[in-house]
Amino acid sequence: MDEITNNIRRLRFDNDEMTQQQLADRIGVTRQTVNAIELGKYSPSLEVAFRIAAVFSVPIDQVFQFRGLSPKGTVPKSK
Amino acid sequence: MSLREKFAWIALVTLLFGIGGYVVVVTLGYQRILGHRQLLWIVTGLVAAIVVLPSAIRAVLTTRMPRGALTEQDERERLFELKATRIAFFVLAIGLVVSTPFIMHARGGRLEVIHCLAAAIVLSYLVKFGVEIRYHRRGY
Repeated sequence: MDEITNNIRRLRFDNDEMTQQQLADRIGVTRQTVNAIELGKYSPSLEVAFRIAAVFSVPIDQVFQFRGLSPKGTVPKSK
Repeated sequence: MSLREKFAWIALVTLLFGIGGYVVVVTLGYQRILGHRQLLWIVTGLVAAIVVLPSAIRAVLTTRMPRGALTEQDERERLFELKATRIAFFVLAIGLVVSTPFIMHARGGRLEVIHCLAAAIVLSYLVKFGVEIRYHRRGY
């Protein structure tokens, strides 16, 4: 789970200090779920990830990053 | 605290109070005074209370918290419920296996059989709501 990081908190503040509740309302989840995603406790589905990216009008890789990639681009097996 | 967590707490507390009340009635020996038929009415009343009371409280909460109520169960909450149901299923299965010898050798008749089965079902529901609350508290 630690291999996936996100910039949601920064993106929220860059977008008129959007609250977690406002983001939650726009992507159709609860505020608690937005908080869990933001803290890296919960990895959302692709659909929710794309919705978050759409709200901020940025590509998905600007919202979520996967640190598990090696320089050659291979993906290590998950534990 | 999310609305779903509140629902889980309500269900858990209602179940605990309902079953607690019933256990008090049975252990105090009222069954001998009341008889099986009256006891069956008490069980029916308790089941109705366990089903109706949380629904009534849910309705009140939903009207008082329109924002949370409008939000449907999201994917994370659905995941919590599925995980909790999975664990509760195993508890129910184990409960039924454990209670089988008691059912086979039930000397008290139908009431003992009902008690054994009800205990397994109630325990599985307690575990379900408990696990759900645990996931909500933890956040993932």
